[in-house]
Formats: sequence, structure tokens, C-alpha cells
Amino acid sequence: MKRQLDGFVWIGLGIALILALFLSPFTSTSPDGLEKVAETKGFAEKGETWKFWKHAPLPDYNIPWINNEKVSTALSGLIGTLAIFFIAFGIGKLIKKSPPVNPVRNSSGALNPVRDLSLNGINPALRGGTPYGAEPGIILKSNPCSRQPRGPLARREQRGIISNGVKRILSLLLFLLPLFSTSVFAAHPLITDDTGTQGKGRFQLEVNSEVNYDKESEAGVKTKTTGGEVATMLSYGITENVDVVLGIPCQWFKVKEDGEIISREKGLSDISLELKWRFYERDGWSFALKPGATFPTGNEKKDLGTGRVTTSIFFITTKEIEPLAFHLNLGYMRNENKLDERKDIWHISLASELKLIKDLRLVTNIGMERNPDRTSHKHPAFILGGFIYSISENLNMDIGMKGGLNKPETDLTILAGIAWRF
Amino acid sequence: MHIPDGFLSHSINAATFVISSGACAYGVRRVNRNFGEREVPLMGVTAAFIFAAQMFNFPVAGGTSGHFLGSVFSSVLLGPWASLLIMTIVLVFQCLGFADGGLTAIGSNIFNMGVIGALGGYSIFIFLYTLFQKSRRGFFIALAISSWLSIVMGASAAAIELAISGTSPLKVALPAMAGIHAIIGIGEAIITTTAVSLILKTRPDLVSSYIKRGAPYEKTA
Repeated sequence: MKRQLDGFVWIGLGIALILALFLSPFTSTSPDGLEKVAETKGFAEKGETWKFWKHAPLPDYNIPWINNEKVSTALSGLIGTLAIFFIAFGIGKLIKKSPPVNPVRNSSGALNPVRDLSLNGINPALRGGTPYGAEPGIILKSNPCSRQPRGPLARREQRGIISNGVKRILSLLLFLLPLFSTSVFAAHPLITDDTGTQGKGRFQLEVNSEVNYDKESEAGVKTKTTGGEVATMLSYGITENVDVVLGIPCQWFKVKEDGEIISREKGLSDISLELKWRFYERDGWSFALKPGATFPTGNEKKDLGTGRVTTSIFFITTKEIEPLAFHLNLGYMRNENKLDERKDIWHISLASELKLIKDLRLVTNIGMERNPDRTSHKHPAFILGGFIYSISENLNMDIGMKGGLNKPETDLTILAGIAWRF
Repeated sequence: MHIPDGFLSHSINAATFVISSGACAYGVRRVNRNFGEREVPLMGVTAAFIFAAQMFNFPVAGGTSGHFLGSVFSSVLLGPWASLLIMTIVLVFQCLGFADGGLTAIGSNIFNMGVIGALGGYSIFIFLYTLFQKSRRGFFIALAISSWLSIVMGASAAAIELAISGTSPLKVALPAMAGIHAIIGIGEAIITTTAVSLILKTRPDLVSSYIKRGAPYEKTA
């Protein structure tokens, strides 16, 4: 049976490669259905003015340095077909049925994984902090309450189900992905924090990055903001359930009004220091308090900081129901600033995590906070979805996409990060 | 049907991204439960075939072209959830590698071609196949209709997203999109039935949805 299937695999792949090599060069150059509709109904230009992803190695199925169009298309088809065969094969292998290691099956027949030792394991790559909208005027400033890394000492379930080779290939693919782009794709998508801590004497180093994009139109003036942030976060477990967290964010942004750059800055933003104390945990419930402060290390004249020390306190609730976990954050921030912003900022957000398979979790997040812009009574709200992948017990990567649900929130943010515990 | 960046509003992008992620998440669980040693290489081959076939645009009426989608094709081979994942892999790969379809619209593209195309298309296939009492002729009729519908429904979903985003009013976008894709869908139906019948002739065991009368039915993802 195995041999027969192998035969089919080679024949099938051969057919696909022949199609790509010999049929694709003769593809019709006419616009496809959607392009045609866009042309005739007059919205084609919308798709030409802006492209979020500009780093495709073979744009429009062409190899940029080959001039002969047919050869170029045929070769890119060949490369693409081979590459996707291995990618789909690898992903299929990763998610296929795991041979029963400890076959504890629940009533629905799904594998009932051995529970994590403690709550600490929930979400190593979560980060706390605030969804800060880009308000007109004061665009992209540092968060009064910065993101924190958290993490677990938690032991994940025993591994070894997926072969090391596949894991290596997959982590290689995940690492290669960012090479196509200037921004780094890695891990930390949630805004909402969880109650997990590092454990006594343990460190966690996180590098989180985001790229954001916002478009506003006011009084006929179109303001476009593109920005990014790379934040380095170091957590240390003072005791089993108390962490201290230092956050060093660096930001860049570019503001364009009607196509002209009116402001462009980059640099260090406000450094943050926080303490997280998980004071209760029982029956899957746990509660934590997180007081914190940010220090005016960022230049407020360049919109990189608030110019003053801000303080905040967050109340965090986590509830675990295998394979789900929920986190609720209620926060208050004293947003001292030199920018004439509101000083009292509240925050509420809810996140959920679903363990899909060993090592891979789907995360979703929704939240809102008070708009620091005094002129606005609309408060930025966001929705976020993403994945966290554990490469090994102490190394996580994550990726997410955040959308603004209303005008004050940044329209679109792509988040990626990596967390290492030691 | 690959929607580029800029056509859709970010709230539509975010909403479809959340729905598509959720569907893919559930799909991973389903496939994880039902996939065996056999299905993994088949998934690779199917994705490769769909990618290669999607590169070829065939001309249809009025200076327009269309290409094979393959969502019903892969559902019939490997089941709807695996098909959703295959479509997702293909779409992400096309977007990142070939600038085909926008990265911000990836959620919408997966929704239109995966959630609607694979899950929706397969539901219709199963409904019709059952209606035709699982006969061999019924199998191919169901296959042709559901693959045609998968294209028309996906295009209609795209039109609705365009309308909600304020790009083009529904009464303009919907007839235009559904109309042109009704023609492109004929190509989809022909390619799908031809390809599946060839596989059925040579390797009937690879078509998980086809039930040979009297043969034990082995369920896959």
C-alpha cells in the first residue's frame, strides 16, 4: 500500500510539475474575473495604490532577472510547485494524527492531553500592555503601560510525537519566512496579559515586533501613518509567583498627509518596569495584580514618549478549561504627560487561547480603552487573531493580525515575536 | 478571485481573518484526528497540483480570463477540512511568494475560497450526492454542480465584502462578479470532473468521498 501511494505521489507531482512548466507559460494575459469587474466598475485603482506586502520573491509568477516572459513564468511555476509540495507535505505531517503515546481519550474521542503542571504554562508569549490607537495629531506614541513578557516555567506535555526532522524543517521554514521581508516575523500577538509567571530564578527574553498602518481622512486631508516597533523585554522570577519585567521599546513611524511626508521619527520610546504578582490560583482560576510604571526615556517632542513618569495597575483573571484558556484584564493608567492628553485611562480586554495540537495555539483577543485624545469621545477598540507556536519547551514564536474596530484604533497591525526562557 | 490589498476595509479584513482562523483552527483539529500516513503525501500532491493548475488562466468571454480553483476537487479527495487547509496553504504561499492576493485581504481570500469554496462547496456536493442516492452518475453530477457553485458562491462572497467595504455597491458588484464567475465556473466544473474521473479510473482508493457500492466506507478528515 505504501509503495503504491508513493507511486501516486510521484506521478501526481510529475503531472503538477509538467502543468506548471509547460502550460503556465501559455496562460491568458487577460484580466481575471475580479480584475475585470474592478476595471469596468471603476475600482481597479484602489488595488494599485497600496500594497502591504512588497517582498514577494517572484512577483506575478515571474523571476525578476529573467527577461523571457515565458521562461520566467515556467521556472517560477516549477519552483513554486515543488516548494508548495514540500510545505503542504510538512504541514500535513505536523498536524496528522499523533500515534497514541498516552492514549487518554475523553468521551468525544479526542486525545486528552496530560494537563500542564500549573497555570504558568498558559501563554508564554502573551504580552500585556495597551492597544494604543493612533489619534490624529498625536500619532503613535509610546504606551503608558508597556507590554510585558510573561511566561511559564511550565513544562509542556511530553514531546516526541512529531519527529525531530519535521520539527526542524518547520522551524527552518518559520525562520526563513522573515528573510523575505524587512520586518521580522516571530511571536507575541495578544494584548491581554495572563497570570503566568516565570518561576523563581528564571528569565525570559522576548523580542516583539509590530508593523502598523493607519489611514484617516479629516476635512479632506488624508493622513496615512505607517509605523513599527521592536520591543525587547526581560522578565525575572523573584519568587515562584512574582515577576519583575523590564521593557525597552524602540519605535519608528512615518506620517504622510496627502502623499507628503510630514513627520518621520525613530528611536527609543519610554522604558517600562512592572511587577506581576499572582496571588490566587485554584480550580483553573487564577488572579494577579500588575502594578507598573514607564519612564520618560523617549523624546516626547518627537512623539516617542509621554515626557513624564506614568503609572498603571492591572487586574488579571485567567480561567483554564482544557484545551481553552481565557484571560480578562481590567486596567487603570495614570497617563501623566506633556502632551495635553487625558490622564485617566481605563482598559478592558478579553483573550482566549485554544490549543489546536501540541505546540500550536490559536489566540483571539478583543478589547477597548479610553482615548487619551481629549477631543475624541470615541474609544479605540480592537480585535486580534493569531497563532503561537512552540519550537521547543523554552522557545516560542508567534504571529498575529490586529484590526481596529473603530476610527481611533490603528487600522491594521501585524504582530510577530519570539520568546526564549532560560 | 484573489482580492488584492486596498479593495477591502480593514474591519472586513479583520473579521474574515478571525472567522478564517477559527475555521482553520477547527480544521487542524479535525485533520489531526483523522489524518493518517496515507493522507499526508496526498495533501502535498494536491496542493502542488492546485497551485500549478491555478497558474493557468483560460480565456472566457469578453477579454476576461479565469483559472481553476480546486476547492471542491481537494474536498472530494481528502475531505472538506483538509481541503480548507490546502486552500489556506496555497493562498498564503501565493500571497507571500508571488504577490497574488493581498496580505491584508488574506482572511477574506481564505474565507471566499476556503470556507465558502471548500466547506460550502463540499456541503453542496454531499447534499446532491446523497440526493442522487450515491450513484456513480450522481457523483459526477454533484461534482459538476458543486464545483460550479463553489466559484459562483466565492465570487458572490467577494462582492458582498466589496460592498460592505464601500468599494462598489452590492447591486453593481454582485451581478458583475456572479455573472462572470458563472462562466469561469464552467471551466472549474469541467476540470474538476475530468481530473476526479481520471483519478477514480486509476486510483479509486484516493477519492475518499466516492463510495463504491458494497465497499466499506472509510471516513477521512
